[in-house]
Amino acid sequence: MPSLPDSPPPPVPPPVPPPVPVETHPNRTGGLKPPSGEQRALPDPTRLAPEDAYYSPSLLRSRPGSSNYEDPIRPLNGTAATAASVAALRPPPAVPGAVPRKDNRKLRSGARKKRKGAWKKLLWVKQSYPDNYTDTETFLDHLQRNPRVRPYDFWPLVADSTVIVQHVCSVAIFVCCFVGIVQGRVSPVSVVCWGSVGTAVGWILWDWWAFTEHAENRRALEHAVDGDDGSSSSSTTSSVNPINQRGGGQKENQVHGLGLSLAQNEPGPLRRQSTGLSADSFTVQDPGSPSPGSPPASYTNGPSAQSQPQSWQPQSFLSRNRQRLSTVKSAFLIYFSLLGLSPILKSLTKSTASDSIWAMSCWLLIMNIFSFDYGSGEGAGATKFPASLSTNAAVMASTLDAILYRGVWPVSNIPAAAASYLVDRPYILNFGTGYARRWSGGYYITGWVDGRDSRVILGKRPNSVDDGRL
Amino acid sequence: MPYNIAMVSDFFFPQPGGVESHIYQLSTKLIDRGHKVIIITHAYKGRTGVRYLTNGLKVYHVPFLVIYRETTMPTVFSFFPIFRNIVIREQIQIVHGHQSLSSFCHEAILHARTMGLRTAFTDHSLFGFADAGSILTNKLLKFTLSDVDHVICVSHTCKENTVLRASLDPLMVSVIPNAVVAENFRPIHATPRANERPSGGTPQIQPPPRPIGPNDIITIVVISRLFYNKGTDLLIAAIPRILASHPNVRFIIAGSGPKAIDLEQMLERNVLQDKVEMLGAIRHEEVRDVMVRGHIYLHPSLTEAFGTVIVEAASCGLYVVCTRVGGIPEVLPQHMTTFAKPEEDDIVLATSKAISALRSNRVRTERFHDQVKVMYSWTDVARRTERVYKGISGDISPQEFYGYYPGEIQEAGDRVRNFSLIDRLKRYYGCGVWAGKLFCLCVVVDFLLYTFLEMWFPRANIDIARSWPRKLQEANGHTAPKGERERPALIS
Repeated sequence: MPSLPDSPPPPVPPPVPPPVPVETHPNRTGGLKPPSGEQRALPDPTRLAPEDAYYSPSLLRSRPGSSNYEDPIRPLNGTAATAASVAALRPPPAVPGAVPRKDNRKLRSGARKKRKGAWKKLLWVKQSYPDNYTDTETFLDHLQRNPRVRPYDFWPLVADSTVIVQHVCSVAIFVCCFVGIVQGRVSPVSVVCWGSVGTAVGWILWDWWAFTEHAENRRALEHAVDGDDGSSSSSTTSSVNPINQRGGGQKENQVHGLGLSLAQNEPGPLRRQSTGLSADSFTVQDPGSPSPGSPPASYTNGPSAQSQPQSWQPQSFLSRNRQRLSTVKSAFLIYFSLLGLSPILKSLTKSTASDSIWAMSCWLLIMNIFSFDYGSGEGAGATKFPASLSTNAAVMASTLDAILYRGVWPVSNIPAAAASYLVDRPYILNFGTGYARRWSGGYYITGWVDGRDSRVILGKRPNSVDDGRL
Repeated sequence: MPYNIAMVSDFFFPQPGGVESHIYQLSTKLIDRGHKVIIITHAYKGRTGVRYLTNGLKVYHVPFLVIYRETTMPTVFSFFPIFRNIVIREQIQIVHGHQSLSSFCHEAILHARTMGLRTAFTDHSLFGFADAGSILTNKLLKFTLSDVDHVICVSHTCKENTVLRASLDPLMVSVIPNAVVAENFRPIHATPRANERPSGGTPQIQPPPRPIGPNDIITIVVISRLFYNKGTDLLIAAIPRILASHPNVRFIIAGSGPKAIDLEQMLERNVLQDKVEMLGAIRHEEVRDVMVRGHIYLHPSLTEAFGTVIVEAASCGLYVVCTRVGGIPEVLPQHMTTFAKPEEDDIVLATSKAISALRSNRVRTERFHDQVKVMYSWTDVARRTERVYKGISGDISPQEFYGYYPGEIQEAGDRVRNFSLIDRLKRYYGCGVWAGKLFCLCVVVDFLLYTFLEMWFPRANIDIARSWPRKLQEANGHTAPKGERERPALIS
């Protein structure tokens, strides 16, 4: 190892020899450069220097020269050692017989040294640099700034936000109907009738629309390369492999048919309601619940579980009709179970004061709005609350309003009124849901030509996952 | 010259952990070098007051409200009176805080600066920048570290992280790695020396291992807490694939945590119970006995500042497969490790590579122990930490400590933090538009509190504790922990 008295760069005072640029980092180019100060490249001005972390970042900061960055040698104990000692300070070779620990210590204590070995970003090497040495070339050179920033476009953002607007609107419609009934402006029977009619019409429209959408999508999918076959997500449960298992698919189909009916009617509330009020067997099948063994989304390479069912859409009308039938069946089931349960509800809530119910139902509705799972498509785990929180809040609010309503209206109206509130809210919601989703879906069809649109339309919101399995 | 040093952290024995053992080992080695070291931590269950550990290491367990995972309630000022009392009592000159999640440490650094003491801070972990919790933590770290004298990080990556988080001058941050007690992590075939008592499990001298044949069982050991950031999800995804492609491979997994259920579910789903042994939580003393049962140590962590456990594994003679994250690439030389990206496919690939390397006997694992022993030792850590103490207390000139930079924008003298209140306020004010003012307010209140305490509990009324007698003067300096006796020192 030659010593270097011959090449001090001009700005450096003579007692400080320049560092020898040796290949110390995989990012650097080349191996040993010639040890002359002139050949050393100036620090890259686009790269962060140590003081960038300390001073306020000025992008156009000019580096006066390489001399600023050349640290003097500060051996650990204040003395310098010979070149031989520095050679001994080199990392021990892979063959461990020649670990130079002993002479390392001996030479460091005694002799003088010039700096030879270039600094390495390693901890297991004994280096002749002080512990607070900051290598200007490698310091922070792995830093990435904002690696995951995703710029947003305005119009897609607007389209996405319609989900929120729609939900808030449906809550507002519910409140309006209720206030109208309480103040006697609207008869509850008409609200129920109109709500039911609207729901039926909305559902039929939506069903027709979803069917045509699916037909189009399937056609598009047939044209496209069948890329997402669902089997590539190897770490999901092996039972979800719908291509190979037609029978399993049919079974799931039935489950989803049931889920569909609930999804039609803004699925959460009704479903929860049914668990709460009538413990029927169909509530056990809850297709919306995530599979427990599903890994975090960052580790799955395959399509997410939501988009999988689209690859095996039922081909025949038969299954569609069965789904429709089950939808109607469960709707009627819920409706009549509510009718049957409302006397119990009445007698249970006789002693409740109405003023606290107002406050509570307000809070519950606010909770519903804020904790509703608006389903931010790609971001996995974006919602911190379970989806049941929002739906439970909504059901609770409807129940409370029904109770409140009982305090206002004659007793004879109670069953119908309670039922109306428990039922028509989701129905009205569903109407709004279908409409708005239709609009945004139309937008996406025009705006996004790649395969994402089907996902957005049909799998965007968790409750519309069930719709996607039509 | 010897210093009186107070190590302050929320985390200390009896709680097990890396920070805890770091503090303990560093303190004992500093005592061996002639310094006086005390440790201030909060009271643990059944452990309050003053305790002496081996070698006269005095531990103050201060009763304090613990809120979350052994971290005390961050009250900015309430620690000051008792802290001042301890510091005066023990004639402390340097306050050394550990671990950025410890509110005890932050408070102690703030109060120590108010009292005119030199402070150092050791950061043991990496933090992110993006989420709200990290932003808040980083702001608090900036608060404390804007007036600290020196910062120590356990790896170069950790240094970069800390410098960015707290906007520090990089020259005020030293990198001093962790170490391992290599005697406690000997490979199974190591011959116990005559003067050492045999560590548990190897009473008899065993023959050196025969080379691994192509069909011998290779055991992969994983010892980690089963948390998300330790990469347990990667492990869950990788184990079935590794076992599918290598029939003569077994796994031993030790550790507990929230992901243990997922791991067990994976085992049941794939019916791998006979190939994967799960040991649950183990004590730190048992780590070596588990490690020596294996040939490969797999470390799938997603973030790691240093990764002491891979050094321990290498010291036990295991070939290490680890992810290339954080400070891990700096820790071990190339021939001891196979690196992988923190992805499922790459981990499987790297493990397969390691298995084939072991099968072809290309790796001389029996030499790892001696190499690791040379690389890391607590004595070395203590020596380097002592240099930091010398630097901040002025025994090494600032020019020598921080280096001399011609044509520098900043004067070198600025790195020496003087104690005048206005200069401290200047430093805190730069922390942010609102935060700067808030921090200044805190510092001013702290200063007023200090003057108040000086008036109401004057220094003259505080007794000075006698130091533990030096090891040279007392014969039985190396006995077991001495219990909680605050006895007068027996000076010969």
